[in-house]
Amino acid sequence: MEELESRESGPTPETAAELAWDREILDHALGELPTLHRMVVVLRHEEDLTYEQIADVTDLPLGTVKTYLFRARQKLRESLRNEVGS
Amino acid sequence: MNRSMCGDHSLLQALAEGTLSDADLQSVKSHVADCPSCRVAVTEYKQVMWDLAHPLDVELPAELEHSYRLLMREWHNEQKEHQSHALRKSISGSFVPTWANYSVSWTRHLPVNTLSSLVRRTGSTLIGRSLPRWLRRKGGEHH
Repeated sequence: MEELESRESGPTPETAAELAWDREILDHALGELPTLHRMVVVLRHEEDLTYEQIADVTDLPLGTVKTYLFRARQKLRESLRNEVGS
Repeated sequence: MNRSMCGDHSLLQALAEGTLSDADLQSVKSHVADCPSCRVAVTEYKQVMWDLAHPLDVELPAELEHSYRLLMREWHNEQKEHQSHALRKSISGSFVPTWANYSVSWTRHLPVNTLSSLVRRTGSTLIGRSLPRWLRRKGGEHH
């Protein structure tokens, strides 16, 4: 778990370029997501809204918000893996 | 080790996100500590979430930036004007970025700053399509 903990303090200078590349990949992958999936991801991870707040502002059921987030994050992770592995 | 949780990505995402319930936290953590593939998945989810929370600043060309600000201001004004009697009609009008037209009901709840951030964040690939389209629709109004 130590490597996980270290991620929480942010990137080291050595990984900054790699992270910038990751973010470009993610930006592209975000653009490929269905609109509502992209929206809940942005509201959750950039705007830092809770699941309940997202359900509130989007008029989506809470379960739907969770499902969209789950699928979107799986897709984003796959995009990152595919790009890194290619 | 609880094998049934191995590869359960809803649990792994929740661990990465820090939203795992107290009831599951210890068992999932201890499984992940012993399971290389789940550990990799959690690390990758953490990376995705960290990256999302630290977006690159998307620099728009000055001309587009100016147009974008006009777009948001006009839309916001339009929205206020029509709030009482024709909100939905106003929202589905030509001032909303293309992507927002897919589902309009949620946009009325968002502060304009959040909406603006959404457009900027999600617009890195869409901005090239939707903004020029909007500018064409507006054709001539700013010239």
